[in-house]
Amino acid sequence: MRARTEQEWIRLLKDGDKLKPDQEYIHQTRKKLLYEARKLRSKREKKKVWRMIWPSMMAVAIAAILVITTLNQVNPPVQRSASHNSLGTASKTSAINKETKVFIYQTHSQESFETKEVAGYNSKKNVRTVGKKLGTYLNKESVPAAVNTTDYVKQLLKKKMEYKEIYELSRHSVKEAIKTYPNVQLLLDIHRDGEIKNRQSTTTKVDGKNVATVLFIIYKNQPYTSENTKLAIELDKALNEIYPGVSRGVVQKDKGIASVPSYNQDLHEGSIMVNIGGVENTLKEETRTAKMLAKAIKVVLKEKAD
Amino acid sequence: MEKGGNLVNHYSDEEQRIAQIYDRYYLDVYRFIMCFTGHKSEAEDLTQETFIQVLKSLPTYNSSYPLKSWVLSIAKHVTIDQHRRRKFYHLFKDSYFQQLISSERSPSQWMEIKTERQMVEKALLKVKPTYRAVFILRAINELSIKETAEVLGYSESKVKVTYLRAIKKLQTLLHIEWEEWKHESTN
Repeated sequence: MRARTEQEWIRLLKDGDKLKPDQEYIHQTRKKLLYEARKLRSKREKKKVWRMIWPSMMAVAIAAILVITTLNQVNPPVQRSASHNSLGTASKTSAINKETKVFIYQTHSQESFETKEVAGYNSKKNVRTVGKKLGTYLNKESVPAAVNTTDYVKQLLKKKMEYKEIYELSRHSVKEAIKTYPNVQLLLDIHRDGEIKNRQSTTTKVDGKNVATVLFIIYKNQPYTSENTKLAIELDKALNEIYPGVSRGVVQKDKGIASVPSYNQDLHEGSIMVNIGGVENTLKEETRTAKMLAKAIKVVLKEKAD
Repeated sequence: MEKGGNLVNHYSDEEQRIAQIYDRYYLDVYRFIMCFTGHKSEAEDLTQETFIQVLKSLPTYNSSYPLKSWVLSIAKHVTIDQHRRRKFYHLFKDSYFQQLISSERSPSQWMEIKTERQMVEKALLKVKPTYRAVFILRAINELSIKETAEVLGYSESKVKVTYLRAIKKLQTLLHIEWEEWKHESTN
């Protein structure tokens, strides 16, 4: 026997029986896939039905509210004109809510987790899921929060805009939010780290469980840069005080590639971009961190109020 | 493949589409994963997982992107992700192999590495994942440099360089084994 050439050993590998799947397996997998496809479709159809039912339910609800309000307002005519005024300014958006302290949105709406997904983007399981969770936890902590779950990527595709122009879309939402929530103190744009092979720095352990780490990002040379930085540092401190190691700190960045160089942080005091974990974290790890972040936000906002 | 066109028409678009993709690419995907993991049952699991991911990601598939490269990129994601999860297990297993191969062997142990083919298969499992992926896509799946670049998200020049390094590494590993084998068999 003699040493083989490259071509020969490639041939050896290729000719092995190992590279051929069993007939039975091929057949079974095909069946399984068709089954999964059917399951997906029926799920989608159920959703469609809901989408059709929703508007009619909403219409009934709105009609009921209208009837009740007009009935109430018939008696005192003075109040009637006053309420009309406030309705007039807010009619284009949702009603003004003075309670809301935190506004959450996700510019890169499809950034997802668990690298299994193609290129780390997913239209369903993504940063918006994390934003929603954060909102829920904040409300549980009795910090009134509003979450905007607009899928800006979808809008972007519809309008055939470039990805870097996406901040122009979310900017519109932030402007609306400032009007709708006049007492908002914290405006969070939730992202996740995109770097791969970086799981070590985007993950830590709390009580023996893996959780995602948090990084606060502030853009330099904006109207509110110093206020925003101050708030971010307070959040960073609070988070690490309760759960050591969960916050990776605060970084200041120069303008990036986005066509809105301010990343919307110039619109209102308290605007912060936050990376919760990275593309290699799991949704579970993200959710745990959302819960912890909610606690930290509560502490910081309470200190501000006192 | 389903027999006859009539039967196929009972399926929804989505079912037809996934069946079509599966029929066209199951062999490519299976081969890639089989070579990459070296385990039959793992290759079967991960091949299935890959196509389920393909099915779920179909709505976001950009049709201007080559389908084959897209499917294989998903296979690669699924496989490497799994590889990462099982790293600990592999660490243990790899070191076990190394021990087996580098220490002195009795004739019966030599019987375990029966054929040259197995020798090559084992060498392939020893090179690092990036090398392994490029090598399999180019040599086993017979993808072009352009297609390999699409699957891995590399530039074409990176594919070329990585492929050459992978070959070199494999040749070194095989050479060592070959020399040992020769030495052993002449004794």
